[in-house]
Amino acid sequence: MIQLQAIEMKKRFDGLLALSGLSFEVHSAEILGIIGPNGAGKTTAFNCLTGFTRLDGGSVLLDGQNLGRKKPYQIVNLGLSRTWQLVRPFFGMKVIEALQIPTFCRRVKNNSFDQTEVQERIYKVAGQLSLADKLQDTVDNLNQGQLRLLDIARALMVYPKVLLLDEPFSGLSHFEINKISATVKNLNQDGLTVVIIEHRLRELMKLVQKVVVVNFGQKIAEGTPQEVVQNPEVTKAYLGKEGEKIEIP
Amino acid sequence: MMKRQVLVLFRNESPAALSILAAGFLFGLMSDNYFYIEVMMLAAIYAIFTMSWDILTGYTHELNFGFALFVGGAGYISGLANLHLGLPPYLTITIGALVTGLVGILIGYLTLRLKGPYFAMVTMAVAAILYKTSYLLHQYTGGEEGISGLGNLTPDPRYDFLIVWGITTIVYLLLRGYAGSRHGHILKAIRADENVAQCCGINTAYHKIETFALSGFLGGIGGGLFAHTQMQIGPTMLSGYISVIIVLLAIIGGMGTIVGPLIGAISLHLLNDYLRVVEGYRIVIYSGILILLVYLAPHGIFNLQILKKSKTLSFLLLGRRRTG
Repeated sequence: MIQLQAIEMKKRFDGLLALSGLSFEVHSAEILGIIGPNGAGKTTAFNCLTGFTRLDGGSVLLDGQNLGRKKPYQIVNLGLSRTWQLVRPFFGMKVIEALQIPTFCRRVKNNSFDQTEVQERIYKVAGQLSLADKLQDTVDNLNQGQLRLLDIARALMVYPKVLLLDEPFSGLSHFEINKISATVKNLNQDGLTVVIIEHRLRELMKLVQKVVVVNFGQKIAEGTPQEVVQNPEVTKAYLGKEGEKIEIP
Repeated sequence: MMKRQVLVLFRNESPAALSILAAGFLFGLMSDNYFYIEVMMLAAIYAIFTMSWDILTGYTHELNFGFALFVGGAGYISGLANLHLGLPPYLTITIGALVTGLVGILIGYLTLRLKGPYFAMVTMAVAAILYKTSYLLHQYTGGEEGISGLGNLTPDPRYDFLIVWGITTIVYLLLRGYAGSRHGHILKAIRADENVAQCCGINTAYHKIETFALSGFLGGIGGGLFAHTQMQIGPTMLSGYISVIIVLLAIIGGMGTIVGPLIGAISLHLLNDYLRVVEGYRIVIYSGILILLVYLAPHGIFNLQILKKSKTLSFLLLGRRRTG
């Protein structure tokens, strides 16, 4: 079943054509990777999906519902949650307070029976992302890896149907990347649909079931990780010339 | 049952603020020195101004430099309604506050996308427009002189004082409740990162406008009380001077605590009046003290690190924090 569908997304920033008819679809309970060289339009695509940037053309469907003119908070309430390329936690708060903020939205209210269940969800999500012992710390005292985890925890608090992760591995150590990968895999096994933008191809390819390659705001290839790396268009986009193969160990 | 609800209301409150509020009531009941009563009344009205300013600026950190718009605007509206329509003060104060609440919604909507200096400039400019308007419409507003001869709340200043102090207490408890509720938490989230707050599924625009309206409404009540207890209102209450004083008192008290602006406004106002014993140097000494306080406690007295680190002090002054 197609859960999230981007149809012919177009976006122009003055002279720069950031998205020129990008289409892809995400099936439910799938992990989709979006890769592409710098400036290919990956983050713009995320911003358009989540309503932070208004599309010039095309449309986005979540479970068949058009997200067209909806505001970011309305899109979150429909079940599309995201993280940001740079970590953006609520500095100055305690971790538990930061995780309380998403519980004030309509979607959490509709999905939970009472206040105790909401509190239990905070502990559950924090546990899933190994933040359980950090709940009483202030956000400012967390390290980069923990901030990433907190960002993902925040995005998970709203009972998302689809989770968009924008470069979740950047600036992290192997240990932390493995931890996030394992968490994402677990969440996916529980039925969560995940879309990941990532530059660390080696780690990404192990995680995802399908990859969409974007360049100059268009999809240039799509398929399983194995298919994609053998695609000549992709090697050309990444390496500048045809005929070479990208190695994944 | 009733008793328990009242207890819940006070349980998390700052003992320092509660005792000052209680002391004020005692003072009002015991004292018959009209001069002290007048001074304390004005102090309480300033406390209403700073607290209602604090709920917006203290929690979102967008400096509202035009609070005179609400204060003076409501003062003039209730004054004119009282003078020309003959409405009783309790009605005119309500009308004035409702109008400034609506104005708050309008300005909140207009400044939704503005941040930092741009936000401050717009609020300042809107207040300046009303200030000039009060001169242009001098046949109604009395221009430089303002309007005087307004009806008083009660014939006895002692009762006036008790009413004003009661309203100050209500405003304090209301704002503390609001700030401690999810509304206050959401405002702090907006302050930290508005886009991420939206990513939490929160309609940040609605919350900012709601707080602007609350700030305007309560500030308007303060303005109306000022007009009717002083029995006059002049363009000073619309001027940049009053906006700056409100900002200063609240910042020195400690933004984002409600307690800080309450205690800061009352004590600094009393200090200012006490300095009248050396009237010639009053402004110099008072301004000097304000500068010194800003230098010693840049984030305000109630936001000092020593205070926040010590559990006892922070409980005594700021009350119990509702987290965890």
